[in-house]
Amino acid sequence: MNIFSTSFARLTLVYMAVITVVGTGILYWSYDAFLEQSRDNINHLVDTDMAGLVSRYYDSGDMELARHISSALDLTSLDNPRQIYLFLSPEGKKLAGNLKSWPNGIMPDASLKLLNISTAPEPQSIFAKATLLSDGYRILVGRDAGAYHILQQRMFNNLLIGFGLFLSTGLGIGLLAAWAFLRRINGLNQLCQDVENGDLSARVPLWKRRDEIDTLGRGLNGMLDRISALLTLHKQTADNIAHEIRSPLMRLNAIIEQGEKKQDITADSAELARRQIEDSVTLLDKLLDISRIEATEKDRSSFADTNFSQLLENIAELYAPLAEEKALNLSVITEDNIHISGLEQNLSRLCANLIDNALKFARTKVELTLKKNGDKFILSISDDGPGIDPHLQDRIFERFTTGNNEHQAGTGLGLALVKAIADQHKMTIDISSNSKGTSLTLTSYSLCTP
Amino acid sequence: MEIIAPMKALCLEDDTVIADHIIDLLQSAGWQVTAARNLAAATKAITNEDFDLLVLDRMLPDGDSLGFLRKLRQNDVQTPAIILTALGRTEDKIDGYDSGADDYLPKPFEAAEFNARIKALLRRAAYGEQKDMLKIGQLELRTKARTVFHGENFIDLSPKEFELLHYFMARENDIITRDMLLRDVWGLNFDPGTNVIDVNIGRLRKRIQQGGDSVQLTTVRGIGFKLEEKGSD
Repeated sequence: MNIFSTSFARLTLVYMAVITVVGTGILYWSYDAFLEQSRDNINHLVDTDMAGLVSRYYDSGDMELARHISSALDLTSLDNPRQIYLFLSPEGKKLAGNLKSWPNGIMPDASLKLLNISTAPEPQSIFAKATLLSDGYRILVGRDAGAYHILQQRMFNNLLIGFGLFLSTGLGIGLLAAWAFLRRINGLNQLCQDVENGDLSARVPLWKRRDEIDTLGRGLNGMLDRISALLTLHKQTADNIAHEIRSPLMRLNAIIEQGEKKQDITADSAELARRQIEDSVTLLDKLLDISRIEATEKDRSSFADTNFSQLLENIAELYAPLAEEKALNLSVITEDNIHISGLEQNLSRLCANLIDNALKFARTKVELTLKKNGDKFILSISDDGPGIDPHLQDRIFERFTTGNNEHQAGTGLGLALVKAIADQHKMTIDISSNSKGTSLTLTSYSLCTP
Repeated sequence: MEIIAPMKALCLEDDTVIADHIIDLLQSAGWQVTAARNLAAATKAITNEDFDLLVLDRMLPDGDSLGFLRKLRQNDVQTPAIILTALGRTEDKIDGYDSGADDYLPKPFEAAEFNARIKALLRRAAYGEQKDMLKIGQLELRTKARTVFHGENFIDLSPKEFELLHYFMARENDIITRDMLLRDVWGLNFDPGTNVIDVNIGRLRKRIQQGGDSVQLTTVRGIGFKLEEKGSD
């Protein structure tokens, strides 16, 4: 992208142009005021001088004034600009002064004029005013304007330098800022391009600043992380489905082929076939449920206040006969009225799967406890089963990981679902397992005040 | 199914094979069926005729039938509606019930399950006013007193077992599916998987038998359960 086509560069340039104009304007104003001040000073000097000469003329006459001017010219001041005098008789004859003749452009009207005199002894520029005395005598008083011109030139040079500095630094800073900005924006654009081309691993390079571009970058990166994770999840689910659906379909095929061979489909084989279909549907539903829960893990918009104590007791009651049938002691100790924010059906499912799982492995008992501990609640479920193989402990929440009890093998999705629901409800799960049993502890801070 | 006057059902389903299957099931049960392939046709049908039952598929060529159902409910059309759909997850079911469905049956389903659901659906209105005393054979259940006697024998039940028995007694001779029990007795919209319902029924069966043998709680293979007077068939 061209640097001048960025809105930031344009904005910076406009800003700098305004600064340059305003800054130069201020410089010009002070330049003008300063020159005016120095003209005023000269005017004042000339006035004072003129007043002295005029009063001398009226007090002592023309000869005395001519003599005074000549002696004043002998005492040339080094500090002040050189004095200029010209005293003419009514006939226009020069009586005194250091100008050769009456310069053009000046009338005896007592107003200060800047004159350029091209005649000898040397061309010079002077400030002068003239006045008419009685009997036709004329007098011109002035000051050399050389120093004034030098000052004016210097001031003007300063003005130009100031303008140049404003312009160049403005342009420089503007372009630099635009370039830096563009470089970072290009990072974002590059990311969009990469993602569009299918590279979901692309990320925006961050500058470790806390500014809006980094915030945007972090937001985009976070979004991409989430999208990648979801895609991986969906791919995993699709792979799982494609893989796991084959077994029940294969069994179904076998049943049909057997029926064909025997030219008879018995009630038993029809029932068996139906069960294969049911199993595949259950498998699909579970996988889709897990993936849906994982995908919407951060969406808590439909969470509601749920009485977790009651919910747990309801599920425990559902499983009590099963425990009894297996001659297992299912004990439930819950603190009353523990309310949490969550999805009732999912939490019920979590409890059901936990209990179901524990009942599969327990030898004599399953213990469930739910209690509050400060601002969190703790749900723990322990069995006295053979424990989980240490190498399996890290993996039991993954899909299709089944335990080591061959007679009780399930779909391998129960605990994956538990994990998904626990994550959805911000519960952490700790496992402790040895040969004397397994204990799962779920902790969460999503308590609701009842 | 014993339906005296022909009742009218609307079947909204776009898949020909499934539609034919559903229509066949309904007709075998004595229903007069109007078929609709899309929402537009269903809307037309329902403005012209009154139906006693709506059988709705969800994903139709011109939209989701939940919106259609919601609109009907807003217009105070209270015709019992059952949703038959491939969207069978817990959350889909909750959506379905929220939109005013009376029942939600995920595909694939079995004929017997479908029939049981339809029957239960139509009966539900009749259950509305709870009778205090329910009696099948020698088995007597009193709702207010919360007591159960089998003949002279008092049967001691847990509150959940009482609720379960009440559910069966209010639906004598009906096939009750596992899904119905989970939903109506335990308030769960998912299948816990293991045979947990069967075990609960087994325990209830044992309790009833403790008092006598005038009723039986039978398992209907592959579908559910039925409470009936012994020798009533």
